[in-house]
Amino acid sequence: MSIHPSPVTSAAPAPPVPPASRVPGAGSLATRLGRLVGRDRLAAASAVALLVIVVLAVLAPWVAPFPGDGTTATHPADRLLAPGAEHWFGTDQVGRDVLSRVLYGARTSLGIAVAVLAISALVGVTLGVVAGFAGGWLRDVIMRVTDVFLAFPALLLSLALAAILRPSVETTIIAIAATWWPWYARLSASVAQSVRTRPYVDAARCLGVHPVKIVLRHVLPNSLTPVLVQLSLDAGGVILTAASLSYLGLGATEPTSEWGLMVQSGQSLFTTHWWVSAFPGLAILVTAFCFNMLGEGLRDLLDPRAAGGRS
Amino acid sequence: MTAAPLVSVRDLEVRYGDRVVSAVPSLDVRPGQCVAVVGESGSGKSTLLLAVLGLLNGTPARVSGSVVVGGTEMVGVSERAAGGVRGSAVSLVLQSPQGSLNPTMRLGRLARHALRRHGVRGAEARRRVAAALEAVRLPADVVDRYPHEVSGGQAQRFAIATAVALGAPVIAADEPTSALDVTVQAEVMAVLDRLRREQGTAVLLVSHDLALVSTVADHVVVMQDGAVVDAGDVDHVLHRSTVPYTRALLAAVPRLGHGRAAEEEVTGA
Amino acid sequence: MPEAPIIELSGADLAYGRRTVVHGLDLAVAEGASVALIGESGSGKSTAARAALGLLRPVGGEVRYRGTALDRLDAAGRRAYRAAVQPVFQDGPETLDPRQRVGSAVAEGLGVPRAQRARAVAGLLADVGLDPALADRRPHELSGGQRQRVGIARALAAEPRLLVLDEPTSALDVTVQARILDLLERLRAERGLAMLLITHNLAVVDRLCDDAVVLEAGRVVERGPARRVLDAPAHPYTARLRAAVPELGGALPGTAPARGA
Repeated sequence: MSIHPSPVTSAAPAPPVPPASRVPGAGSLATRLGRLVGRDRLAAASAVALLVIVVLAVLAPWVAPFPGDGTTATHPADRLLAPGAEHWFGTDQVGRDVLSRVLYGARTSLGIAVAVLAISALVGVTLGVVAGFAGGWLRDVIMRVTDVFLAFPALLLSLALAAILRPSVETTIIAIAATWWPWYARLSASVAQSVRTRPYVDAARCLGVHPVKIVLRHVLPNSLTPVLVQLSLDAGGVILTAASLSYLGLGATEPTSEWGLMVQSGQSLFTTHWWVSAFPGLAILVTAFCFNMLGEGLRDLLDPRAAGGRS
Repeated sequence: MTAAPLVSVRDLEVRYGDRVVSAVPSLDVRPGQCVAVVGESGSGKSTLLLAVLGLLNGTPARVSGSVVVGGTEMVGVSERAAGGVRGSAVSLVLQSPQGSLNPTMRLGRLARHALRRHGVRGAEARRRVAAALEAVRLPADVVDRYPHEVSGGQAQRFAIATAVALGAPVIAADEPTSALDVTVQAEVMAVLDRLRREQGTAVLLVSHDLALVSTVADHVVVMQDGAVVDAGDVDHVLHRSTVPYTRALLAAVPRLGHGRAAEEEVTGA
Repeated sequence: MPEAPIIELSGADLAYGRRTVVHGLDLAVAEGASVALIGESGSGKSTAARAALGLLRPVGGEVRYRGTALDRLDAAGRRAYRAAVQPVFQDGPETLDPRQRVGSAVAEGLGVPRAQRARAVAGLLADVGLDPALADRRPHELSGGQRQRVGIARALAAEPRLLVLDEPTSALDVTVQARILDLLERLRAERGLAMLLITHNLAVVDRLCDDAVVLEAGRVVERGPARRVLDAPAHPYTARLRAAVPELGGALPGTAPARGA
């Protein structure tokens, strides 16, 4: 039996490639970015706000009105001045400009977030992808180790570690990273496991491509999107945790500018000299919030198919 | 004898931005009639169905023209009014039955919920459901099952039963059998056909399967790239149409044994 | 002395975890042959395809490549097997790596030195009826028919002797299906490729295959020349399948709906 094509079909040219705009989820990153800004104003605004925060943090030594206050200087004569023309955010108990310290605090917090997330992602994703792709006993071993870490309430584990080590910024990083990596391991393991069953991975296996190459070329790139989204969402959480540790005296110590530490130091004065705690507290709130909004927006941007059927 | 149409489409145009996704100048569905809208992907056939059900309101699509269902104009209608029409004047059966059924509720409860939304409760609701299950040849105890406990074909027949219980004179079906095995497909289509003959239910069927459509439809509309390229009663479209796209579609349908006679002539086998 | 078939499943029992989905399957595809594995969902046909592709190990029986069981092949034998038996999957969002360019996907199976890769890829794309310029595109920029052609090109890059096609046209528009079937017919004639076609579409079987094996619930219920199986089915299940296929312009396929079916 043969299908007798009518003259129309056999003479028809190869179908043209549909223009990019017709295909859902298509378009360059720039186009999708443009569409996203239009659709998700909050995410766009958050991204801009974070950009400002990052720039200010990086340029703090030059932008801060009293750079010395960010580190070691003290001016007991100017203590506890209310917010005014010279000190927009007022001064603290030892006369340091609160605005400058908030700016320097941004450096500290963002630095901690970057370090923690880098370590967590590196360790977690490596172990997770290996576990998810290899399966079998290797996966079981890695997942059990992950489970052990996850069994501890995160903050408590951080506290315990921080209490053992000498309080400092480095301690904060290690303590938080130790409790954060298991989430990335679990996340990437489950994503890698689902990617493993996809037809294009089967096709690669049938072509005899080496498993390591399959992981690097196919599994890893397709597992990254949820990890990137998670990183952005976690940044806010890390900053909050770091602030909590310092607040409890187990993290950064004086005279380092760290938002949590600043909140703690101004706490007893709150009713009379609210600005000492309020501004660093506000900084934590705004930064964490913006990271969260950015994370939601990133998910829509990087994986339009996952954006709830919008494509 | 032409009864008044249950669904009447005039000069419908659906746009996304400046692109016309679906344009239908005229379409009527009369009681007891099976109208099939056939096309490949991107033809705009599913969009037409969405317009008939008022499901485009509130989306970025811009709809112009007129779609009258059971006396109500669906273009620009409020969601509340559209909700009233859906279920009472026209019921929807989708491609994936289990996808649209709440997995945590037993089927009987799902049906009664649908009925309650249109003011049918208690004994009357139960009676209607029982009668509908009979009409689609499902056993009465299917009401106690969960969606994942029944097969795809059973779920699809259940969806049709719900439509029947609601008493809508028109069933709008979007690729109702594409996800089903071919033997089950035949059973589901038989159900729709029997409803049409015995209860006068009209069917608006959207499908890419020309062969399937040709066995049940009275009237066929062929769409390509958002426009209607051919329309007429099924006999005309199948055998006497001169529209090139229709001919191409017909020629492309793989047919059992059809070309073999010609082959045997050639080889003399 | 007959040559061993390229792929042979012998008494294969195939399972997912504890659930056996295929029982005692005997299936052979010889050089140049075209065999259809027919069944509906749940019949185990896709599972059998995975076993033939070496993606699923049988829990009973054997899968053999040119007479040798797969797990007894040495390194060279494995390489030969991997090149000789290639899959073509149903078109879907994950048939091609969405992050990989077309050219790169096709080149994955090539054994040529880097310098010649672009030319080889262009040649393969042309072979399957695609514009070589598409090598720089990503899958989402292509239509379903084009993606399927890329999938076929990817398989051809390995210079296979047997293509295992799992519902290769079921997800495509009907006019596109026809063209893909034309392509497969041409490739088979030009390269003498063998085919194992997994499908529920009897009309496609009629067109492409010499022999047919019908699976129901994991067991073979009928086998024989495709023409005979389709025209004069011996087993009631095959007859039901055949009867259920809608004929263009024919009557409604008369399958009396059984209660609870």
